[in-house]
Amino acid sequence: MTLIALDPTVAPLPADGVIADRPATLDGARLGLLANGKLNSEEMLAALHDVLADRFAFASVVERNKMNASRPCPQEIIDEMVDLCDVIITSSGD
Amino acid sequence: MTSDLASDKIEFDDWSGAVEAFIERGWTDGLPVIPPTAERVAAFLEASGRAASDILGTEPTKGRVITAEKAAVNAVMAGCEPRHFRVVAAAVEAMCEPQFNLHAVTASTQGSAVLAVVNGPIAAELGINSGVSAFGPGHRANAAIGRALRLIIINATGSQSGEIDKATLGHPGKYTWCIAEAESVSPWPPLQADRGLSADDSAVTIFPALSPIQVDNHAFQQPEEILVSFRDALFAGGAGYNQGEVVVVLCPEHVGNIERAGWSKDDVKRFLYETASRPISEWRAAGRLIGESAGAADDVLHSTRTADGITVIVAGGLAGAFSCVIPLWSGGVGARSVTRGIQ
Repeated sequence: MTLIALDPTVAPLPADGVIADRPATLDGARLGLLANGKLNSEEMLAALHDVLADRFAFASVVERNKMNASRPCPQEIIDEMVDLCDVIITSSGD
Repeated sequence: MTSDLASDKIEFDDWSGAVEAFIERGWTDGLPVIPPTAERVAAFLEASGRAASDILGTEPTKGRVITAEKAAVNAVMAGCEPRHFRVVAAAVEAMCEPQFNLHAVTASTQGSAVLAVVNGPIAAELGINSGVSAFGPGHRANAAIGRALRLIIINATGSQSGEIDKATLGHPGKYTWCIAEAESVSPWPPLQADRGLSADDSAVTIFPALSPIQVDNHAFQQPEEILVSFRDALFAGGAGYNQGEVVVVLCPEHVGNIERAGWSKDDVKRFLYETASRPISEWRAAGRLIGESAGAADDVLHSTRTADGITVIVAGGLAGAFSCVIPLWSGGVGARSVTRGIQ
């Protein structure tokens, strides 16, 4: 005899959640570096920047630190980086 | 009513096929579950007076909305009875309060569990154990309510082990961890009264709890002599120093001796705060990352920031002088316990 059960899961993304378009190149991009506040997170981003800077010519680099790894990024930092950056790299140093 | 339910329906060949499929899909804690049928989920909602679409909370980082229906589905899976769901629903509401920091405490390498402590008349109504082997097996309400919260974390927030849940070790309380406070044994006001509710109210308090550290002291009867042995346990867990909140569970034998000396719960907290302190140099030698700005090497740091940061609960069997310290995730700073009344 068949049994019908209910799915216990909740959808993983908000209905309006989308993935941003990927850039064709990083040349000329305004780069954002967002550290998560953990030990070494800024150092890791700096090292990553140095590797990328050898290959691409960024128009600008904006560095911010959300200072609390366990909470979402403060909205004012998100708003600022959306205005100032084309590409953002974030880190999870530990 | 089953017609109100919005969850996708999945057909299986039989009961055992459903049980195996839920495990294969990663929808359990690794153990078999009760397949959640629409009829049983509807019975849970009816028993709690909740509508299927009632929103208990939203996972704060990923925006996943946890409805009463989804919580009930998982509570059925966990082995709850319909009458248990009132506690589960209130605990989910508490978990989604910002101060509990649900994403962090269920994702972090530090590996905390959700400890649910139930107070008030509902604990006896549901048979939630507060006595012998309070943290152990053998009581359906304890086992199923705590497991329901874990399954909700797995399925409604997506925090499966190795996926979002990156705990280095975790601990066995992540399977299930729910107790009642031993109010009839305690000489002091119960936990929910400390949190601003009436001692007659039913309530659940949830803690982002690391593994308990047992404190054994059969040698002494005076409060100071008993409580000084908690010092090392208060040093050991979580951040160790400057904690915002830590839980001390006192067993009846320790409580009895402390109470006979006329000590109040606040007296216990004050003594523990004062005794659990040591110089910064000793904290550093114990492996704590303490920057130069914290002070000189011989400056003293306490285990907790304040005496009120120590939450005292009474539980356990009448025999044995075994209490425990339960540190909280991030030293009870980045996440705090939450108390919620049960309707």
